[in-house]
Amino acid sequence: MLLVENRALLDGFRAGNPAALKSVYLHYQPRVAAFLRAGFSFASGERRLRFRGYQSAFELEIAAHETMARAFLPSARLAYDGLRPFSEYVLAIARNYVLNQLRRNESLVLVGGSEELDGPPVESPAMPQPIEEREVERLLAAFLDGASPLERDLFRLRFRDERAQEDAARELGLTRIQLRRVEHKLKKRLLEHLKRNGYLADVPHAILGAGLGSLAW
Amino acid sequence: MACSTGKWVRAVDRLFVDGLSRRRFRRLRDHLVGCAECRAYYDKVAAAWRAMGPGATPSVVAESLADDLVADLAPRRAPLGRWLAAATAAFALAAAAWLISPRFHAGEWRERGAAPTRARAVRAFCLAPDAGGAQAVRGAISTAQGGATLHCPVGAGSLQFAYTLGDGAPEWLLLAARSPDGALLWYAPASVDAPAQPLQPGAFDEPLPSSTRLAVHHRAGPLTVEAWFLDHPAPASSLAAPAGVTAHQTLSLALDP
Repeated sequence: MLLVENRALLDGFRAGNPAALKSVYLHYQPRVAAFLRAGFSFASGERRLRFRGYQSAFELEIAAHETMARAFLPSARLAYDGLRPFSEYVLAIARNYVLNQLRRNESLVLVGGSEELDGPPVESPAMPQPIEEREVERLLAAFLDGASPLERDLFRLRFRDERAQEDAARELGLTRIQLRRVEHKLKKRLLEHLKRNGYLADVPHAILGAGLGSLAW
Repeated sequence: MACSTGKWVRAVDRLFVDGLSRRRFRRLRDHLVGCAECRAYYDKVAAAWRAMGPGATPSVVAESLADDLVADLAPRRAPLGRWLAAATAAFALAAAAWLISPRFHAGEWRERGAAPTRARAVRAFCLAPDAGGAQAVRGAISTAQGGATLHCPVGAGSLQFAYTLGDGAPEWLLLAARSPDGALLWYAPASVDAPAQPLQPGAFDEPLPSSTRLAVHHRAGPLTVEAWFLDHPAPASSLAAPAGVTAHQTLSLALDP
């Protein structure tokens, strides 16, 4: 509802103001990505079909960015009426983007059932969770079981609740620098835990380096 | 810079742990467009930060993309960011495979001059009911992990195998284990009468068509699963002396009572 409620931002968005464009991008891009990741069902002629969603994070980022780029074209900005939620508008663009790609490649996936398939675009988490996701969640849970209470609190505040560093540090009774150190060590240990337990083992060995060494750019 | 130096893996690691500057993040993305193996690594690390929670995604990812788009929309600029333009071109070439199954395809768009190492691996996942009765992943192990053992309950558990095969000619897989009493346990193909399992070049962690319930034909104890990658569709009955073996790998399992 960001653009519906904030008319100044809407005016800046329509006018192509860089700060307004960036605010709108950062607000809606995660929603577009979530929609494209979950996939959706649709009808094509007599066939009931489903787009299964993007599994690759890299491909997902590109598709979400392409959607935002289309929504940000001057003609698309001016076509948005400012009355309906912008999320509906941009998710419809995302859906059309995917369908155009599918039509181009004739790569459609049949689904059964008698659900309403051609309704408005909504997130549709109907597909089973990929086995890789379940694996990383299991490894993450095991890692947190072995973490200290402070680390678990930091994890919850920073990553689950999306609290800013200063805010989280205040709640944990730390300075911001102390919090950053704990967070750095926590993430580093988590990455090592994922590598040690084989989560990254199928990535070809040729590209695996020595770990968390310094970068030489 | 070739992937084999590990430089780009370290860049992804640093993105995860500390974040990267926008300049370095753009260089990383430029590389990812042309390097399927590094994209595979990026995807796996990104899955980890997604599992951590919405606050774990490095802020530079969305910030950098937003800045690129805003800059592209400014007057006298090209309509697409440089990495996006490159990505669009690359994706146009591989769009069919990309969209038929939006799963990563290892080995696409290998860098020119990169060493022609072909990725081959088999991964075993142990699935067993959790406290709520839902099938949960209890563990996983890859043939790339020497010395490690995957534990799985023999009664309620099941095994799901997945394979990775870099780009190149088609290959086939024989996957089997010998039980403590000497019987052959076939995972791929499902029986000795069937031909070897065909593998899709460019597949990354692609699950085999069926899983195996450990309540059937399995007993508690150690089990070594052997994987033969073959350059032709040999019958499973050729296991005693398989010809055309491109790789032979093993997995260690421990089936718990």
